[in-house]
Amino acid sequence: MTSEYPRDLFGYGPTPPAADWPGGARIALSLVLNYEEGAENTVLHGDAGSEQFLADIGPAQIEPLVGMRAYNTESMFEYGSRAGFWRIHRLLTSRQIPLTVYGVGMALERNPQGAKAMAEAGWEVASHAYRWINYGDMPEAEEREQIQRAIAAVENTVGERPVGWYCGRVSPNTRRLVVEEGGFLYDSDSYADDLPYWNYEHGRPHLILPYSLDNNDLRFSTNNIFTGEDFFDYIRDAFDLLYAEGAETSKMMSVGLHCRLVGRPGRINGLARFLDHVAAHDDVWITRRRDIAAHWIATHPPAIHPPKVEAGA
Amino acid sequence: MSEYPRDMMGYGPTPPEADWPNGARIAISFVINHEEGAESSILHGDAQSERYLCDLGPVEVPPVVGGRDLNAESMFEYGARVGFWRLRRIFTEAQVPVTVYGVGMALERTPEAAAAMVEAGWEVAGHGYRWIDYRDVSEDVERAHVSQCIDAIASTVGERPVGWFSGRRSIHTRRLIVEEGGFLYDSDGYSDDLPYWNTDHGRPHLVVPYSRNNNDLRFATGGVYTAGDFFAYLRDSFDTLYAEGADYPKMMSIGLHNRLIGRPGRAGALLRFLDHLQKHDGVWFARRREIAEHWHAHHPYSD
Repeated sequence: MTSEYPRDLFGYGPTPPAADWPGGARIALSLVLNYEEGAENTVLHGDAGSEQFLADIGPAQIEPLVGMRAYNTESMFEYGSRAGFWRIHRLLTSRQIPLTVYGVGMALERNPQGAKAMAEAGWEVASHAYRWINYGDMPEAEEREQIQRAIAAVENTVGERPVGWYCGRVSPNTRRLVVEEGGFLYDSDSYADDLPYWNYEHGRPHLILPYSLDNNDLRFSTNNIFTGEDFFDYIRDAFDLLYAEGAETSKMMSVGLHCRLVGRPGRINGLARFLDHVAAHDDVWITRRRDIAAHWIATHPPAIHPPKVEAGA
Repeated sequence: MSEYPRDMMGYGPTPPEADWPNGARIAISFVINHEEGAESSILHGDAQSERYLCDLGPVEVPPVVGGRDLNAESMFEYGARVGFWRLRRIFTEAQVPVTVYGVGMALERTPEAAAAMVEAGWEVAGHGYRWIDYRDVSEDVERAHVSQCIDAIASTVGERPVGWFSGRRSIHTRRLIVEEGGFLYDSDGYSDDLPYWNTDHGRPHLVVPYSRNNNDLRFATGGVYTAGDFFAYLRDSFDTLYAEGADYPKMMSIGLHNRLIGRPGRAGALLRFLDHLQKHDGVWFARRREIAEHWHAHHPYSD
């Protein structure tokens, strides 16, 4: 086995650290609203074709339209910014639930009222890149420039630069570019743990707050689930398990949401029921990701001598 | 017709009396597939990133050709870093034995996990040297991988495997396993509820059939989302076989993956299924090698 293997397959192993959340909480719960509508693929934005990912078009039956607008798809995204966002906003603000928004730069620019409402609600707006596209193939120089535009877009619409980052469909360069750009407390482009962890790959220590694509309403569009009740069941089970484990070692839970998905009337009750379930428990820290990051930086600072990741290390 | 190489009859309407230890009505085999760190990746010399059996979703995101897919990699890392340890704790506390389908390269990259398997008394069977589709691999390379897998298990676990499961097997796999020798059984078959003898390759070879429906891979292929649904499916399988077991004792395999059932939203299904099992008498919790040894002793091959 080579000693240069760059992945860490051990992590915290059988003995995760005590997270030491504020108030002795057993679980830190981070709700995330992905704000993407108006930044998806369309010829209107200079793309080759229409969007196909994470809408209600169905899993794969309808190919993207090349060189043309897809009015059905566009209208499904419009539903998210027009109706879904405000429904979720009412639900969360009425219960005073803190939230992190993964805000796509171009989407925020197209809905300044939405951005203003996020700021007024005290929500964190992390950056979710400038466009909602697959960055996998983008040349490095272009992606670097897009990161800067994404930061500026959040700053201009929300009034404060983002301290968190989530690209989603990353390129091999994304994390390095984010570290080089600087000014971030954390990124969430990882699914590798139940707790924050430090990454040392790109020079200075960089904090990762892992995210979830299974505690995530995107499953409504990938055909895994249909009912709000099934969504509730899944995230309740995740909460219950981490809460039980949290009696010994406290954990973190992320729930990913989308305006155009859980924001539909047939689904929103799945989220509302989950909030009821959580409210029936003590020792839950419902919080924004930036607060989790600030806590981790203060209580679990990076190693002075970063571990060298080796096979079997 | 006489040359047709498949057996469409098997035990037919009258399966043999399995005669499990203590008159058990059912033999339960839990299998943990230990694959993380051996999946397709340019880091491992492959042409593209992994796409199979993870939480990327069914179809939308294609594999990355010639590059790393850091999202997919981190999902596999979750399995090794978190999911494995969660499962180990669940099975250890329930005192239920496990067979690991261990991929050679994955065990080499997770020596702490390999040591924890030994400490827990789990069986580690061979699951290929790589977690790849062996239909695309030449016979010579596959033969070398069989022997590399045996070596990797011997060196990380301290004992060579006596069981085999390729998964995405080639047309050569079973013959190569029989030729290699030293195995009590392989599980590359889905064709029965009981072990059976195969004579395709000279000497009699025991097949202990596996299951891809009593299997958490359905979480990744889109067949199931909630832990409640997965539990209900496993429970129904068990209840059917347990009822049939009053007349003809059966065997049930449950396939698990660190990165799938090991996630918080899913592990509850396993806890509930273990509770369900422990409410029943006459259940034999066994490693596959024990089932194979039992079959060799009580149902030896005969013409």
